[in-house]
Amino acid sequence: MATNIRMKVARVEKSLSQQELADRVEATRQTIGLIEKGEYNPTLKLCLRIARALDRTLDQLFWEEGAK
Amino acid sequence: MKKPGLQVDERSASIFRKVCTRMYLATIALLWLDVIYRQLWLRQPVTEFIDIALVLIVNVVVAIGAILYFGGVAIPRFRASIVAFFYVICVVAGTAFWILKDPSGSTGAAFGKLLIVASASAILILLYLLAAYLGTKRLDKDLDD
Repeated sequence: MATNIRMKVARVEKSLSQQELADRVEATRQTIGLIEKGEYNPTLKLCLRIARALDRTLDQLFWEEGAK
Repeated sequence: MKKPGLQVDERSASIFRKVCTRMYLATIALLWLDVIYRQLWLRQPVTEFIDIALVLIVNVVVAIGAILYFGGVAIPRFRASIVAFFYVICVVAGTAFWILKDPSGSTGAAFGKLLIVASASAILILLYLLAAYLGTKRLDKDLDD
């Protein structure tokens, strides 16, 4: 799984640390870190929470163009 | 706001389930080995390990039934050849195990054992098919509601 740089950029633009985002979406800092590193595949439920917390759409954060 | 206590989210819950599943399978496998070792190697009488054997049998039978029921495995997905394959495996393994346990019996006694194992396996597979059918019906009903 590729690194999710878009999620990291969106988080930094909202001036949130990994811990602050984790608290907002009821996850742990480790989980947010692993999602950004592309080492954990979150459920749709968590994706939606993250997208709402970062004011982005699912497409903007998680859609991979050209991915099979 | 950070909650006090253990921080459990979907990833930690998923890892917990994965570890529990693997440890359960390892425990079951080790207990099976233990029963086989006691029965075939040490030649202990069944009464000395009947408790372990019963726990194992009930546990595995219920676990497979629960997976079929709650998983709602659709009946059409069961190909007759797959069912027949598992049935033959059950009958051959069960009969072989029983004969190995008591090899001194006559051919007639071995045939009797084969009949008992074949009937028990047929009942078990029918119960599994029933569990899968009921599970599918339950899920279909939930989807209709």
